[in-house]
Amino acid sequence: MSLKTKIKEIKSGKLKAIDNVLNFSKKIATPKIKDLNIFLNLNENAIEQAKKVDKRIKEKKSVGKLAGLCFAVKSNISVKGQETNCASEVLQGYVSPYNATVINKLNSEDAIFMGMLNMDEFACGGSGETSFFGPTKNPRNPELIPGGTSSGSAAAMASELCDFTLGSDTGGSIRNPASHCGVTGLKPTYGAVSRYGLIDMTMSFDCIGPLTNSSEDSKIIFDIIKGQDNFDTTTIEEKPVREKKNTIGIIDLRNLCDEKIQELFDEKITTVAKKNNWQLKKISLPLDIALETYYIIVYTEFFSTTRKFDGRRFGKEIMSAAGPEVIRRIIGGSIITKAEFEGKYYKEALKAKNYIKSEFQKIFARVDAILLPTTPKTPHKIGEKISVEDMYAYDIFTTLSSISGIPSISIPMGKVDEKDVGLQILAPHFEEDLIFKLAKKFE
Amino acid sequence: MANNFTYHKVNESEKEEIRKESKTLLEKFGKKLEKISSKEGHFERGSGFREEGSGWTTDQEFKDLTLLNAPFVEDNFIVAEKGSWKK
Repeated sequence: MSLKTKIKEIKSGKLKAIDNVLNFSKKIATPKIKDLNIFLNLNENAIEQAKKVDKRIKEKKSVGKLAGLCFAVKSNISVKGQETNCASEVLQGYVSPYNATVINKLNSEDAIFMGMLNMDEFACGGSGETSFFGPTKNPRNPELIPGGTSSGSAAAMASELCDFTLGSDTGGSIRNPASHCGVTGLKPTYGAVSRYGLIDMTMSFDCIGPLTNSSEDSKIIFDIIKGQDNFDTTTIEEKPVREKKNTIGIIDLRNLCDEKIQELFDEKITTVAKKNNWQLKKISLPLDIALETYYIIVYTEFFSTTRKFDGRRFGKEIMSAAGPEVIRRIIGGSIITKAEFEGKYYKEALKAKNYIKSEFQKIFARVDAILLPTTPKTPHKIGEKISVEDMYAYDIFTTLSSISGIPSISIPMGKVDEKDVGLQILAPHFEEDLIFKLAKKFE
Repeated sequence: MANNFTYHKVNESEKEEIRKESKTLLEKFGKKLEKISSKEGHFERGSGFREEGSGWTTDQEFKDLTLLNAPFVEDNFIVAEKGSWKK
């Protein structure tokens, strides 16, 4: 059922908010779902909140735009009174004293918070395997990784445990698990959605975004959570006006991804482009420096942001309690920021970031949007041996939009060897509406 | 099954191994970026200054939870002694 239909049914009284909560809660409590390790904590007050919504509807009082819809969030988004632990022993037991702005927005529209979702520890990873609380399993095939770092957010949607979830995306952390789990995940324009209350991983790349079952649903949630926020001075509202050329940019995928993914992608975009009279134009993207630029900035900013985890005011000291990927990024950042490397890695990465941004400006002068696969390969098995570089390689198609701050969505594209794969649509800054419009053509 | 990403406590010898791997990886990454001749960018917005308003008042719950999260509390103070986590 689409969110639009469900909202209508709840507001008309045809479906009670409490029944919506109970239906999801029953499913969450089943052994099969518990085994997937999706939820870390559940909201004990969900039923009470639902009762209040139903009472107001019965009394014909006004209710919010998302009245009665159930949502859950990644465990790095602050929810007052809830353990917000970033799936780490470092913050195990840490109860957030305030709500993230996005939570306040959803609450004010009468959406019902269901609980906190599993993720890669401190959003470091890309497979859903690094959580202190154990890996999340892919609901489509529990032997496989669900992707990360918003692993629980994607798995919850794939298992139909919520109406929508929120994740965070730094280099693909919403889009990657959306692809592996066969759901829709949006990384908004950097600055479109407030990050106030997000426990940051890389502050110049992090974005909060929705995971849903369709692009239409994604738009509904995005329209609620977006907007300028005085608590996050990087937020802004813009409505760009740009003449459309009906031209979509694509790249030569040879040697860049799994052949079967390439075949599926080519088949899909050719069919849809023909149907909609799009012109497909070959473009070139700076993929050869994407991962290098991304990870140097990530290591640097993550090192900086983790200085507060010293165990003195909350939690444990991070170097004594975190897992290997968190430690790797901290150590990497500590190397980069040494005085002896001044002017080296980080400055070079900032120059590369600027170069990448200017390349996208040139590309979007010629095309309206860009299509790419979300990941270059299908998900591996949980626990399978994988090198650091091979793990990072999952991000090759998603990091460029993070570096340049442009929005992009991952929508289900189909299956390769019975594994879900996603298609990505990238657009210029603040053109999420164009993304939703194009995504609908593929659904 | 576990790989080098699944959570486990990292001992000092593994940290040293990670340090060596990171140095090699960064050298490799850095070399690739050396060829980029561009300036560091910065972004200036002509508008969007934050309205100061009357600020945000914390409530008692905020204070209670903040103190609850702290390892050592004395009355209304968090006792943050350097190195205390080593105890």
